[in-house]
This record gives sequence, C-alpha cells and structure tokens, in this order.
Amino acid sequence: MLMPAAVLIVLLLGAIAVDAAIVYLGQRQAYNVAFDAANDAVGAGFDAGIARETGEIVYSPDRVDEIAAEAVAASSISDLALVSTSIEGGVVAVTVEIQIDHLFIQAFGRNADEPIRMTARASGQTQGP
Amino acid sequence: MTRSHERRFVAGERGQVAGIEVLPFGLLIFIAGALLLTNMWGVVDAKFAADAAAREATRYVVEVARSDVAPSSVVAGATDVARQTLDDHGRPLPATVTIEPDAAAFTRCQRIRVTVSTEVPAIRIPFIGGFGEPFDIVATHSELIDPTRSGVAGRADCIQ
Repeated sequence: MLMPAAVLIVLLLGAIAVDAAIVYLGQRQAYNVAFDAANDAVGAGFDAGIARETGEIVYSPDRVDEIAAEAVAASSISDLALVSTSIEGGVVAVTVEIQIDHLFIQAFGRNADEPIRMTARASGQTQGP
Repeated sequence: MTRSHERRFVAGERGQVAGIEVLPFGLLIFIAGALLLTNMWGVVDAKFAADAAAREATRYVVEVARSDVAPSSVVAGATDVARQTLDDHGRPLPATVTIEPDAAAFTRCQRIRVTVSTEVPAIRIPFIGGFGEPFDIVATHSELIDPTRSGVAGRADCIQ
C-alpha cells in the first residue's frame, strides 16, 4: 500500500510544481510589462509645455494611459490587459492583469474554466533639471 | 542435515514481501517524475534568461542609438549583448535575436522591440545532453527611445 501512495504523492507534487511554475512565469511577465509601461510613461507622459515654462514635471493622465496601453500591446502576451494607471506626484503606477490557465489544477476539483487573475504594479519616477 | 538446511535456505520464500516486483516500476516512475521536474525548471530558467537577454538588448539600443553611430553597428551590438546575456545565464544555446523596427528608424519616441528566441531540449540528462522535441522559448521586450535625450534624430512627438 505504501508504494502506490508514494507514487501518487510524487505525481501530485509534480503537478503542483508544474502549475506553480506556470503561475510564477505569468506573474513575472506581468510585472515586467507593468514596469516597462511605467518606465515609458514616466519618460514621455509629462506635459512638455509646463516642463519648459516652469521646469516642473507634471504628468498628463491621458497621455500616461496611452503610452502604458502601447507598452502593454507591444508585449505580445496573450490575456494581458492594462487595468489602470495612476499618478501620485512624480510616481506613475501601472496595473496590468493577466489571465493564467492552470494545467493540472482541475484534477484537484477546481473548475478548469475559472482561470486565476493576477495584478502586477510598477512605478517610475523622474526628476526635473 | 547440513545439505537439507542449505536447500531450505536457497528455495525458501519466507521473508519475501508480496508485490516486491512492483518496486522497479515505482522507481522508474519516480525517475521519470524527477526528470520532468528538473526539465520544467530548465524551461523556467531559459525563459528568465531570454527575458533578461531581450531586456538588455533593448536597453542597449535605446542607450546607444545616436545620429553619429551607424545603425548597423547598433543592431550588431544589441545582438551580441543578447547572446552574451544568455551565455552569462549558462545558456549558450543558439538564439535568434530580432530587433524592430529596422535600423533606419532609431529616432526619438520610437518604440524599440527586441524578441529573443531559443530552444530547450525536451529531456536533458546530466553529462549526456539533451534530446527530444525542443521547447521554443520566446521573450519580447519593448521600450521607447527617450524623447528628451540628446544625440538622436527626429522630433519628440510623443510628448504633448
């Protein structure tokens, strides 16, 4: 009885490891894209007129949104979407959401049609001259 | 007396565990599972390496591209950086590095997109090598050429 149980445990651990790896990879990809989007938005999402006149960096919310959306689209990752951007002083935060389909978890009773969603955030900051 | 004792010792089955012949199969499953887990980590590691290579190559293009530097040398340098990064991660596998757009468009506000593709063998055994249908590992990274930096041609149209 012990041997089948041991084999079953090895298979279960293997399945958990595969699913965990899939989730981990998706999480890292989402974070990388969010970070890149925030970096791009920080570099090009500010109001040039105010910067020239006063030297102050003031971000345009619409422009930050556009640039972040471009960065997310350029990542070519399926099931990845821009959720929101926010401007907090000199910091731009970008939130993205990725939909990850597990491979084996449905064997443990979870619904296969219910993928897990995760959110990654990143922020950037610029300094005026 | 002695002969009879020896015969009993050789032919007797006392002490045997029922089902012992299944143990080798269990061991084989365990080895196959261990190989699967090891190779899975290899795929994850290769993905990280490809991600890092794409990021470094993109950073190289964004930082090095200038009006007075030949675009072809920027592309060649970025490709070298990507391959060197993969090598530094212990993955000296043949890799394909694609840089978009083409070299003529290294201007302000241009989005640079670098894709690094490599392969990981399906099964890899230490000291023997890998074999089987390989997995394709692809990583893409993109970044804008800074609109406010100097030395680059083009207008900073992405700033409003």
